Order: sequence, then structure tokens, then C-alpha cells
Amino acid sequence: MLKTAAGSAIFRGSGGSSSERPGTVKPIIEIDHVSRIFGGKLLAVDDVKLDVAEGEFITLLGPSGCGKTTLLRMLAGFERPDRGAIRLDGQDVTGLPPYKRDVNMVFQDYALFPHLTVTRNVAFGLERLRIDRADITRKVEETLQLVGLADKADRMPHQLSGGQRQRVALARAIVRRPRVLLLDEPLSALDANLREAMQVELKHLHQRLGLTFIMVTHDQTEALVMSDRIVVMHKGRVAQAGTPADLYDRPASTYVANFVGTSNLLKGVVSGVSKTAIAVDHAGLRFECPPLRTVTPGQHVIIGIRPEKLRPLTTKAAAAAEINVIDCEVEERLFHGNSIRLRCRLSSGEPLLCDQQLAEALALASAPEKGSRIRLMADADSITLFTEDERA
Amino acid sequence: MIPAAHPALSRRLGDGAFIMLIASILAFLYLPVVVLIIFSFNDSSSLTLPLSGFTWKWYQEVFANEDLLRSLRNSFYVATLATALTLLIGVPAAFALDRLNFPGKTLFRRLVLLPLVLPGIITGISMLNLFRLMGFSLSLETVIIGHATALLSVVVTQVFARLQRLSRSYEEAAADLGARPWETFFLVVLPNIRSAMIGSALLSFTLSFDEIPVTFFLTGRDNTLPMYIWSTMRRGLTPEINAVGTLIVAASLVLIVLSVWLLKADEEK
Amino acid sequence: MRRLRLERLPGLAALSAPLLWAIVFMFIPYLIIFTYSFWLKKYPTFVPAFQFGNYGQIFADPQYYQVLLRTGKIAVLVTAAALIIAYPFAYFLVFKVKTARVRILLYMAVIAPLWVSYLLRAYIWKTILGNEGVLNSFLVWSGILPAPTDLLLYNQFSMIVTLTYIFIPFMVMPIFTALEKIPKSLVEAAGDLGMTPVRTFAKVIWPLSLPGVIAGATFTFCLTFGDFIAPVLVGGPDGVMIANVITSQYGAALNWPLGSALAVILLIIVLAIIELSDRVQRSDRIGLG
Repeated sequence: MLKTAAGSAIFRGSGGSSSERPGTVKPIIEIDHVSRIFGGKLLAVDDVKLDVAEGEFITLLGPSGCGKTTLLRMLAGFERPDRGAIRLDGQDVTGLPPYKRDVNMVFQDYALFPHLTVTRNVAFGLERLRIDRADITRKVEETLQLVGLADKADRMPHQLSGGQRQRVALARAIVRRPRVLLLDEPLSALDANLREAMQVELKHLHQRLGLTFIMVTHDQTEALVMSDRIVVMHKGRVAQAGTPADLYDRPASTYVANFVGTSNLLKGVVSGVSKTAIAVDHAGLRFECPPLRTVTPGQHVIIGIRPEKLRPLTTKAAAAAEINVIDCEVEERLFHGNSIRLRCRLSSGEPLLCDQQLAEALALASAPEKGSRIRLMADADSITLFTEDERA
Repeated sequence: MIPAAHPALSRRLGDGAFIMLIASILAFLYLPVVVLIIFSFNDSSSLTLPLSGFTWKWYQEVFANEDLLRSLRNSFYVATLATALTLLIGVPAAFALDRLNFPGKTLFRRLVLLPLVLPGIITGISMLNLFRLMGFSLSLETVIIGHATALLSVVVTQVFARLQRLSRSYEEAAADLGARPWETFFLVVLPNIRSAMIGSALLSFTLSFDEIPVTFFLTGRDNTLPMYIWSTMRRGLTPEINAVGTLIVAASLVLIVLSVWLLKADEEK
Repeated sequence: MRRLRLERLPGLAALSAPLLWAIVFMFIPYLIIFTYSFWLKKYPTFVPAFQFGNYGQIFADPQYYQVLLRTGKIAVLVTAAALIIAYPFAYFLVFKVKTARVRILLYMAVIAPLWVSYLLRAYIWKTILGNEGVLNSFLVWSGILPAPTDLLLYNQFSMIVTLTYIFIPFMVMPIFTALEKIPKSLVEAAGDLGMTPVRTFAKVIWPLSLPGVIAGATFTFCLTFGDFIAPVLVGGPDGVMIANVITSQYGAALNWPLGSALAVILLIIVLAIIELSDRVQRSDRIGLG
């Protein structure tokens, strides 16, 4: 029943809506204008429309309370949408109880049955299918091998470490090869070192099994590393959906820009629009960025530049440049081991962050000192433009 | 004296006094039990010091006493069935209180928990009235129903407390893996409330065995052990009672050890 | 529930059994007692009626209301005595005993007597306090008294001793639980802030242990109030409690209406105490959770 990774069309999304190109493969999950209201007032999930392609690894990313977990639970069947519908393989499953859906979940607290051994835990789902005993034994063994726990088959959950328990939870959820695998913050309970290793392992598992993975996390690094597509959520709505690179390089709003990575944000006014660039003025500094938005001169906008995209100017020729250049004073140096973060301040009073890699030995010594004035430059392509109403 | 020694010394004296207090409380608690055991072996009909010789005869009389043995059998019968009933009614009741919201829930909870603090006489009398009204004559069966009603709260409180501590995600995981509600109950929930069920069942059994006020009003022709002892006590003191008492102490000890051991084995998970 | 799922029916049916039981064997019987309390005693038994005569009798005839007062007094004394003995014991267990093992052992030691028949434990005091009993023979033998004294048994003193003895474990349990719940860090913080042990107790420990104290006191008071065994075994003519009166009305006197009225009063008093203790516990929420 192993499916190969589907090469179906990746759906691009922005600003809360998702489009379907005609003639492409039908999505495995359709979340159709789903809302969930608590207590008659709290909109936990607000009119979300999202399609998931078969074989995708998609992550719902956002802070606590953004609605991602509620959405996941609605996919599993533990919560019922107050509005809208959920379809699996084209079939309406909105009202179906969890035990009737071909969807399995890895719980945040693992929820391993404390009174059953690892083997019995993993076999639990298969036993509900009333298949052959021999079949069950074989599948359980295979899956335990897959997650690397074959030698712990007869242990009880309380005898296992956190990482091992997580793998049992994983094994238990994938053994039935569900159409969709849901993961609720699967790595949040693990130690930092373990987390990184598990990120890679999960990704490999996904590639190997070819199942559709839908994961929920508040950790943007996890999302960036593991996902084919990320859906950033904010206050119950979809802020942006796209590939990790999309979200990082082309955030649709300042919210996304600062949730996925960090971004410097400077308020400015559009000073000119042309076919090749948009010019923005901030306190006398002139910025130019690609014309990816429709703006009019005089419009108030926000410039976004990621800290690592700012480079100190070294050569005299570069020093003469006038566009996308910032003069500032270094207020603080923060040592991050492999990089250094300069907290600077512009003459306009705005703060600015600049990250520099310490790629060579003794690079720390040659980095700008605290109190020094430096000149930073960014490529036009690294500059993102946000219009006021996307601040959300 | 070094000033620092004062607080330490006074604390020591305080602790010493404390220990003496505790020891005397324990002595107070166990004095009657010790007296009971000693006099059950005492070769004399009266319960005064000094002690006469050692004898087994009171125990022999106990085992020869048909009435007493019959009442003992009755007590077992009653306790077993009453405990079974408390589990059958109590476990679903605990569930209802933990999971459901229904009109009259507060009243239901109050009613179920009331017999715990209510003097047994009230439960006894109220049920006596009921049986009279319904035309049932008093028997061991009415006693069983009375005990079950009075002891329901023992099971409900314990199982309810355990249910509250049971993470809801186990049941969600079971449902997620394809288990229907009944399967989830029997395969996942029940095994995990086992210790609470066993503990409360044992407690219920013990309390039923020793129950007096409710039994007093609901007993028909057949006596339970406490009722038998009660009637013999009214007639006067006999050392035979001491022997019975000591046997009960021994049996209780066994039960305590058993339940602690069982609970430990269960908690080890 | 937007749609009644068919598969929930067996579950709901199972949950209805306890409800039914509560109604038939708990709610209705209380109603019956209440109804009976208005009936009339008419030789040889009693007849349905609606009259307050029984209640009138209780409040007019000193024979009855004095019993009520006496029962109340004894219940209060027993509760106080049990509390005075149980609290230090629980305190010692929680704060003075360092090893968990010893603590559990001592806790079990205080609980263990509960498993020995109540009847027998009361009976033993009869043995100990009696004219020819253990205590008297010891006192005479050791020369403290010239002759056995009657003062020890068949009076209120013996009842209070017996009942206190019975209820000490019941007091220890909730107080122990409440004391255990107090975070050690609170006590340490108090010491750190310069509070003497006495002040720490008065300001921190005692208030936080109050729920346990109230629970134990309520339990002890209510059950003592309704006890009829201790009076029979070790009480004397002045030791008759309300439960004995009720019992005799249901027995030889065949005056069920009066017995029911007395039972209703007992029920009301007990319910009032329970409600009161609930209120105090709720309002006094020096929240530990």
C-alpha cells in the first residue's frame, strides 16, 4: 500500500485565499470555508479555505491561539466545524467521527496507552480493522523497524525515553497507512539536540512512505526544514500559504515577515514607480525594490529587509552608492557563535538589526565595534515592500 | 551557652515532646486492640486483671457456634453482592458526573455523595419506609440494596477522582485509531481505572462487612455478623466476642496488606 | 448535540441506571420520610394525615428537644477532641517526619484501626472502662484508687472517649491530605522572610489546612450526631442521643410518624452543617487550586 511521493501540482497561496488551477489533480484534503466558534463569540478558526495535495508535507505555523490546533483537530474529527465543510478524497467527512475517518494523528503528549506494550500500542489500530493476526504481527514489526524501535517491542511506555515514546506514537499512527497523517507539535516535548535529528528523520519518513503529512507547530525552523508548503496562521485566518522559500523571501505581510525569520521594518513613502523598480523614501534614505506590488506615489508603505541581507560597505566605490544604503551607529554586538548580530540605530532614530556570518577565523575581531558608525547596503531583490493594510 | 545553641536545643526538646505525643496517640489508638487480643486468649470469663492462663477455648467456641458461623456466611454473601452492585452502579455514575451535563446533575451528585456523611440511621430508616410501602418483607436482599445505596459514594468518589486524572487524549487516540466508543471504554478506559475500582471495591466490601446502622433497620430473619455480635453484646459480655474480634482484626490486616500490595503493583505502571 | 448519534444510545442507557437508582433508593425514600412526618399516630400503628403535631411534640416536650441539645453538645465535644488529637498527629507526619517510608507507615498505623469493626472498637471501651474492666483493675492494683469507680462508664464521658477514639482516624485523613498539599516552598519562604515557626503556622499552615479541618470536622460532627451504637454500649441514662430516640420510635413505640419527624430534623441539621462547611470552603478559597 506504499504510495510513491506524488508529483502533483503545488498550490501557491497568498493573503488568505487559495487558488486551484484548472486541469490539475484533485486535492486529497479540501478545507472549504471552515469556521469554528467557541462560546458563541470566540472565532478560533475564521473562514479558512485550504487545499492539500496528496503526498504533500504541509505545516500549519503560528503562535498559540492562532487556530492551527483547532483546525488540525477538525481534520481528525475531534472538533466539528460550525461553518463550512471538510472533504477527504472528495468525500464530505465534516460530520464523521474520528473512528470512521482514514486519518491518523500523532498527539502532542503521545497518548500512548499506558497499560499496553509498545507492540500492543502499535497493533491497536490494526486490530480495529479485524485483519489477520499474522498480517498484524508482520506490519507491526515492519513499522517498528522503520522507526528504529524493533528491540523495544515488549517494553511498556513508562520504560521508554521521550524520544522513544515519540517514535512509538509515530509508528502507531502510520501503521495503518492512513490517507493523511496529522502531527500535533510532534517535536515540542523533545530536547533541542534530539529535535534537530528528528526533524530530518521525519522528513525522510515522509519521503519514504509517500503519505500526506499535515503538521502543526509554532517553531518556524521546524516548518522551514520539513515542509513542502507552510500555512502561516494568525487569529484564526490564513496569513499566507506557500513554499518555505516563498514565505521567507516574499512574505505577504509584516506579520509573516516577522513570524518566519526576523525582518527590519522601516516606514516610508513611495517616491516613484517605474516598470523596473519602486522607489521609497525613508527619512532621506532612498530604497528601490522590484515592482511586485501596485502602489502609487505618495502612498505610505513599509520596507522590509532581513538582517542577514545587510552588508557593510568596504570598497570606496561601493561607499559612493546612494541607493539601498543605510548609515547607522552600532549600539550593541550580540555574539551568536557562528554569526554576530549588530543592533544599530539610524539617524532617524529607528532601530536596525544586521547579522553577519563569522565565516573566517578571527572574523569577530574585524567586525564593527560598538559605537562605530557603519554603512550598510542591501540588494534591491532582498527588499520587500508592504502596504499599510497588511500590517495585521 | 552559645546563643546559637538555644534555638537548636529548644527545637530538639520540642521535637522530643512531639514524638512523645505521637507515641501516646498511637498507644491510645492501639490499646483497645491489644486488650482485645490479649483477652481473647485469657482463660477467664471476666475481663479483669490479673490475667489467668492462656487458652484457645474461646476460639474453639467461635468455630463451634453455628449461629455465628451462619451470620458470617451471610455477611460474606451480603458484602459480595453489595460490592458488585456498587461497582455496577457506581462506575457509570462516576462517568456520568465526569462526562455528561444533564439537568439535575447537581442534585444527582448531592444525592449520591450524601450517604457518605449522612448518619446510617437516616439511610436505614428511609429505605425501611420504602420497602414497607412497596410491600417487600425484610431479608438479606433488602440489606444488600441498603448497603449498595450507602456505599455507592465510596466507589463514585474514587472512580471519579481517577477519571479526572485520566488524560482525555487516550480516548481520542483510541477513537483516532478506529475504536468505537464501547471499544474505547473497555479497551482503554477501564484498564486504566482498574486500581481505583479495585481499591474502592475492597473498601466497599470491608465497610459492608462492618455495617451496622443501615443493616439494623433492614434485617429480616437472617443476621449479618455485626448484627449477631450486637445481639450477643446486649445480652452481656462474653470472651467469645474477643475471639471473634481478634479474628476480624487478623482478617482486616490481611485485607489491608492485600489491597496495598495490589495498589502498589498497579501504580508501578 | 446537533444530531443524536445512534451509537450513543447504549452509552446513555448505561448511564441512566445510576440515575434511576438514585431516584428510587435515595430521592423517593427521603420524600417518604418527609411525608410520614406529618402522619398521625393512631393505635395500634399510624395513619395518613397532614398535621404538624409531631414537630410540635418535639419542640414542646423537653424529653425530645433536650436530647437534641445533648446530642449537639456531645457531637461538638467529640469533634473538638478528635481535632485536638488528630491535628498534631497529621502535622507531625507531614512536617516532622523526613523519610517517606516512615510517614506512610505511621499514616497506615493511624488508619488501620478503621478496618477493625466499629462495633468491636466501641465494645472494647466498655471492657476497659467497666467496673470490672481493665482500667479499673489497673487503678486499684496500682493503688491509685481504693476501689473500682463507676465514674468511668455509662455516662457522657465514656461516650465522648469512645466516639473520639472512633473518629481520630477520620480526622487525620483529610487534615493530612490538606497539609501535604501545602508547597514546601511556601513554608520555606515564610522562614526566609523572617517569620518564626509559630507565626508561620498561624499565618501560612493553619489557613491552608483549613479545608481539611473543615472536611474532617463536618464528617465527625455529622456521624457522631447520628450515632446510636455508642450510647447503647457505653452511654448511660443521661447519654441517650437523638438516634436512639428515633430507633425506639421505630421499634417498640411503633410511632413511625414521630420517628420520621425526628429523622427529618436530624436530616435538616446534617444538611445544614454540610451546606455551611461547603460555603466556608468555597468562600475561604485561599486558593491552592
